[in-house]
Amino acid sequence: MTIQRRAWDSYRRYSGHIFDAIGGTPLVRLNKVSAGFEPDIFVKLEWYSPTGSLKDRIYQNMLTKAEERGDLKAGMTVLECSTGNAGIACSFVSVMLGHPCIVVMPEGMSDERKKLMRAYGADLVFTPGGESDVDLALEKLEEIRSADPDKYWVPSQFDNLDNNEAHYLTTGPEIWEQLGGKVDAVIASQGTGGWVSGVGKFIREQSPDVRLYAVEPEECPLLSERGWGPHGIEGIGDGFVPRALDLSLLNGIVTTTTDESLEMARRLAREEGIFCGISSGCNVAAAIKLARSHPELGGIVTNINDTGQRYFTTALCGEEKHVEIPERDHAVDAYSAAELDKYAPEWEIIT
Amino acid sequence: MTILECSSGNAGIACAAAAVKDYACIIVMPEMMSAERKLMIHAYGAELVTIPGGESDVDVALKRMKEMAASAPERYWVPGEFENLDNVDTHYTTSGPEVWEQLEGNVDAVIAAVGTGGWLTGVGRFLKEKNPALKIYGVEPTESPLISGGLCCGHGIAGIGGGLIPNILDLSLLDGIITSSTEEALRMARRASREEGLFYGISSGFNLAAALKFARPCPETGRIVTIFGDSGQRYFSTPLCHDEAEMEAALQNVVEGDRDAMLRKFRKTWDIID
Repeated sequence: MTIQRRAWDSYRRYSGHIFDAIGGTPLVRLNKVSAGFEPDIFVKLEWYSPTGSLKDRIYQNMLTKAEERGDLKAGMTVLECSTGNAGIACSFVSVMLGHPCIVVMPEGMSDERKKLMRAYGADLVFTPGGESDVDLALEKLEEIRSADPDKYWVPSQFDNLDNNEAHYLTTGPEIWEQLGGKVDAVIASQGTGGWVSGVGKFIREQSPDVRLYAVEPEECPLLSERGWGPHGIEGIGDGFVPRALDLSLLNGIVTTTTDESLEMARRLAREEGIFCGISSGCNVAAAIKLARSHPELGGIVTNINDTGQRYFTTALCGEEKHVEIPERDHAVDAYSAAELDKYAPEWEIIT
Repeated sequence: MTILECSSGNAGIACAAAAVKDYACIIVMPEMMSAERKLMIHAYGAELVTIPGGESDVDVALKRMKEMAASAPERYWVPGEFENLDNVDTHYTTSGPEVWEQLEGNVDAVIAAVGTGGWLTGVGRFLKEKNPALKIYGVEPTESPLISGGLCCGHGIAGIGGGLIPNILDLSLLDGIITSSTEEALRMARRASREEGLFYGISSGFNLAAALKFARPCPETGRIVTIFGDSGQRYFSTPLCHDEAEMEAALQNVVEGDRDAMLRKFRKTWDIID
């Protein structure tokens, strides 16, 4: 059984379960921050979902699929690595389906995210570093899992294609309908790659000419330059090419800096009334760069991943947080290098 | 003109967000309100004026706002959510009909904490017109039972029980009052996130605790509606998101000593669901 899209008019009648409130989010056209650019820029407001981010869609799909396949059995604990929104959604979906949940994350992530996971009843395990050190958290997760493989089921959002499928089945079709089939470019920063790959695949099937772009932090330009470095955009730019990211779909890469992302997130609150997180500011900053480079595009779609309400203790709300980043080499892994060899030469790079 | 409003939180945030369209905005609020609310008001570009005190001191903030407005009446427009009947009208024309349709006309009781009284009055009036047998109950903090006991004290439920009986609250609609404590509100808000997947604020836990208190002695009531006013994401710095030990310690400070003795004395005389 595949997950059902929430019907547009489903709120007409009361919902029997909080899962009925997942997805079916608004798509809003920007007015002020996009003024002066030809293309219209549309943003999908994913904080309308129960835990306030795009991740509810994918954990509902990943967990229910795993239960149906028999991989996730009653009594098993869900064990996941996440820098934030995914861990929150994982905690929420796990507890609602009756599974205990453990989330492994870098300690540098915002306190709000940790408190949300605990509110939904999850246990947390911390590893050193910040957003660019997700690989260390993944190593820790593997250590925990291999100590008792029968006890844990790992959704593994970076590798699990049920992640992409959730966006292919719900987010993509929603956007297509909301724009009446008029969409020329889809652009989004890449965390797991599930959103840009799932939405991108669906829209490309409807409209083969649609242009698809991934966005990454200029400070950690893996896709555009095979580089790596610490940055301040939580939830994206993790320093490797995830299996869930389908590079074959992409027309190009847009890079934005942490400062550009913060500035745009602040402008979105003050000028558009959209109080969103830093990666959402990154998405819109990149969409505007794309609009500047390609004035011929009619409509550009990107995502507002979450609300600014989980960034009170971050630079977004004026509070600089110092995170110890461990000193270490960061070579591009073999899978990432091979994928980039295949596709990167064709890409347009916008900075 | 500048929009000038008094608010203990969510109203100030919504006012700041609405003003984003074209106006400058100043919000007057008690300084004890949560940091998250202040940060959001700033994020939408509004200015904040704080007065000493907490939730039960909204009356002081209102006084301060009225002084400011009187000093330059040409400069300010005051929405005045506690007195503005357009507040009630909004819920009468939107929230009420939505609830009625969503429950397909099958609703027996409406229960909600009193902040401005706008939600309870607007929704209650609409539903009562549709179903005259409907029961309408206000909820107020056990620690500060102003409507049911004429007593106003400090409590820990942001956004309600502001130490005044708002002009727009239509007392004639009420069938009764339910009181619920800060502790009950916090515990129920925590249960809602862990058991129902609903991570909401303290006043939402408060409303749910009250709805359950009503349901217990009235099992014949079919459907009870209440409101979850806001997300738990505005309460990270409050006892809602503290660990268990911190929450227990915070709760010790809510009702203690003389206040508690006074409450015990008064409680004997009230006709309340407690």
